[in-house]
Formats: sequence, C-alpha cells, structure tokens
Amino acid sequence: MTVAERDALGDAEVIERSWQEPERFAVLFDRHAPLIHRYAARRIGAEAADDLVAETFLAAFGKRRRYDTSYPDARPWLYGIATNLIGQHRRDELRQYRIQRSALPDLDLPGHAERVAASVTARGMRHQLTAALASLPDRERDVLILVAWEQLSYDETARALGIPLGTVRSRLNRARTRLREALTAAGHSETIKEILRDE
Amino acid sequence: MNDLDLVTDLTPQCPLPGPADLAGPRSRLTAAIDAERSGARPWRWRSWRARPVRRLAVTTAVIAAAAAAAALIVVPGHSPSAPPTVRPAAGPPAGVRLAAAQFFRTAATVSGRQPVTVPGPDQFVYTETEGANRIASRQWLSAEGNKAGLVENAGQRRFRSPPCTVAQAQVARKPPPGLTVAGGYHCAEQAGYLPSMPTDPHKLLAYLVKIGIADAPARPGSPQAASPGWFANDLGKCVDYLMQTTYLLPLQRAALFKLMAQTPGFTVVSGAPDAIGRVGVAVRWTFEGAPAEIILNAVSYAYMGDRTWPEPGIKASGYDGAALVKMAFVNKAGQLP
Repeated sequence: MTVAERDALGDAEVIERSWQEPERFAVLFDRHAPLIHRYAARRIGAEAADDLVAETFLAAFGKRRRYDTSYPDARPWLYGIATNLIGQHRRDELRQYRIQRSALPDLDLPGHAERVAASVTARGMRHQLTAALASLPDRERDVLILVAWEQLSYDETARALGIPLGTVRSRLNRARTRLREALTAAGHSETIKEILRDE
Repeated sequence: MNDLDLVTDLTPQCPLPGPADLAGPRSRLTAAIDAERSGARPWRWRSWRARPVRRLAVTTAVIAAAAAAAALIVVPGHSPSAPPTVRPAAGPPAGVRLAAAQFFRTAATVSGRQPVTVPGPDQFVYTETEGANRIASRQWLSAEGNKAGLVENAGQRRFRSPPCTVAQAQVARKPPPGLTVAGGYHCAEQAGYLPSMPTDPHKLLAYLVKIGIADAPARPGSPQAASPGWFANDLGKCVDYLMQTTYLLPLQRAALFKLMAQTPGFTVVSGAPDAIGRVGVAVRWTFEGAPAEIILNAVSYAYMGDRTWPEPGIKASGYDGAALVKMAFVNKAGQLP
C-alpha cells in the first residue's frame, strides 16, 4: 500500500482491512495517537500519558472487529476508550488539577479580543474553576472536557462515551450548573451574572 | 463569552507529540500486531491498570542501619502469601459480611504487631503486581526517593527520574543505556518508603492531604458532601495505592486501618477472590454506582490487591484489578529478589 493509498482510506476502511491485515492498524495510530496523547496529558499528566496511549491503542486493536464501520471517523471511538482508561487514573487526574490550580496561565495566548478577555477572566477564577472541575462527578467531567477541551461535538461525545445524545446534553448542563454554583459560592457572582446576560 | 468558554480557556497547554515522542507506545502496538501476524492467537486486550506515578516529598529519613545491611528482604506483613509473624486467630468463614469497624480495628492490631524492618538508605523498594490479564508489572522505587527508579510493564522497562533537587536533577540528565525516559527529564519526587508518615490516624489524614494523595473530608455544602460515598472512595483508593506501591511500617499500616474504621461507607465480605484468584477478605465501597474492593489476607491482613468495576452505563468487560505478588528491598533498580 502506498502512502497515497493509505491516506485515501477512511478510518473505518483501515479498521476493516486490519481485520485480515493487522499491520494496517498502525495507520490509525499514526493518525490519531498525537491527539489522544495530548488529551491524556491534559488530564493525567505527560508522564502517565505514554502508557495510556499505548493501552488505548492496544485496547482498540483488540476490539477492532467490533468497530461499527458505518462511522468513518474513529476518533470518538478512541477518545471513548481513552476516557474509560483515564477513569482508572483518578488520582493522577486530581493531581493534575492541583498542579493546574497553582500554575499561572499563559498570557500570550493567541486569539481574538474575546478570547483574551476570557483568558483574563479565567485567570481570576482559575483556582475556583479548577477546583470545581476536579469535584465534578466523573461522568459529568468526561462530557465537559471532551466538549470544552477536545472540541468534540455533542454527537461525537455521545459516540465516545456510548451514551445517548440527550444524556450528553443533560450531563453537560448539570456540570455547567455545578461550575456556576461553585463560582458563585467563591464570590464570583458578578462574573456569573455577566455570563448569564451574554447567554 | 459563556461558562463553557471559561472551561475551554483552562485547557492545559500541552503540545502535540511528534513521532519520536510516540515511539514507545507505537512499539507496544506493533508488538501486538506482529504477534497476531506471526500466527499467534488474535490479540485480545484486557485492561492493565497503570499504577499512578507518585510525587511525594520525603523529609528526613530515619533509617535503622541493622536491617539495612541485608541485601534482599522480603518484607514481612507485605507479602500476601507469607504467614503473619504474630499469629492471630483464624480468618472468618467465606461469604460472611463482617462488621467493618471491628474488622479494621482487628486489622490495625494485627498489623501493628508485625516486626519493624526498614530499607537501607541506598536500597530500593521492589513491588511486583499481576493484573487480571496475568501481565506482570514491576516497580523499583528508591527508598529515600533520591535515586532513579524503574518501572517494568509487560516486560518493557522505563527509567523513572529521581526527585527534584538541583544536584539530583543533574544526575538524571542521562538515563541508563537502553532505557527510555517516562515523561522526559522533569523532576519528580517519589520514594518507596515514607518514614515521616504519621502513625496517629488524625495526623495521618492531614499528612496524606498535604502530600497530595488524599483529599480532606468534604465541607458541608460542597459538591463532594452531596456525593454519597465520596470520602470512603477517596480514602479507599488512597489506602489501595499506598499499600500496593509503598513500604509501610507496621504502625503506619495500623493507622490506615484505624482511619478506615472511622470512615463510614465500607463493607467487609469474606471469601472474595483477588485479580488472580487468591481468596481473601474484600473491603468494598461503591461510588457513583461503581464498586471497588481492596482484598486483604484473612489471617495476616496483608494487602493482596484490588478490583474495580466500571460505573453503570460504561461499556467495559468485567472488572479490572491488580494483585500484589511480592514486595521486597533490593540493592539496585532492576534487581529481582
């Protein structure tokens, strides 16, 4: 298979062909491992991310015959496997939040004015927000992070976690409500009012 | 701007790794692919739970030189199959639900009477675990946390960087030949032995919170307080982690059991298998519908392992677990007892 042929195949086709030719599964690793690694590093730290990426792709390789090939993009599937594995690293994840809580945000983030404004606002509330994020129930935090950090659509998040679309919405709503409550309790009620006004 | 933007803005700035950074995980995948191509049975994955990396500050290490002189010591009270040095009454019959608080108090008494053995300042705490998939994991942690350790999963060895003093970080620049570095050369504090860990349950909890491996009990009105079983879950996982990865003095283990005796949310059931089928007593708790267990030897109360199940609605096959097979002191990272 040439590089061009390899690149022309969608994830579902790669997986299907790997049923008979297992070496083709490495294509999936080359395509998506960087994203999954970054996702893992964000949640449980760079040191544990290597193992988690390896475990994710070993799990995916073992389960590839059960992949629903009607979905051309395997990314949500891989995110789902990684998320399940992250659930077994809760302590690493909580430690990451503690580290983030104490870290200063990057003030040189590129982006338009609104994003910079959001950055400054978030800096003021970083401590409370990160603490609130850490205290969310796991299932709500999974949804929130896949949507907010990994930019998965609601539909992709539903596929990743194997839950109905409506459940994604309800968990996200609950998570956002809890965050607002936590920020309000921490004395950021004016900012919360501003947020609610903007919506 | 809305509250979701605020969360997005908190996204940790992690760079996308390049092919060189991913060589290790990719080689594990290609090994599985090669195994299947070579005519072996189709690769079937069963989860192996990576043990968390500890970054703990270890203060002054008080070392008993007499015990330190020994090269290899299989640690009493930490070896699931070894008989207890102080013989307690026989274990309970199988399948019986025991009174948790009483069980923990007895466990504290028996554990606290074990003889004290301590690692030497240059020794390593070796732990060997086996997952439900029968894949072995070995870890060598410097007793004082001042030397590079090793971790070996499914035959693959990784160098662990030593703690973060300037001098030690300099030493860590070059890993031993043939070993890859987990997570780069950043400093990490980790030790296999925590002599400063208190033996008073109240001070112990404060210490565990301070070093970042346990959370304090939830404040009234906090989201944690509204989650039933939150503290039992946190403490259970903290105890599980410590007993599986760290050499604990007898009175430290007793203090952990005393802390559990004061914490609602645990049930204790006899006749429970660990991840590799050995039978012990299960200390069980449930958080958000997901059960978890620590398995202890029914007679010696030595830690045997753990088992966890996914939350309801999460697609996963059965439980995940790890069994502690051996804990010992050795003189070098990589040395087997």
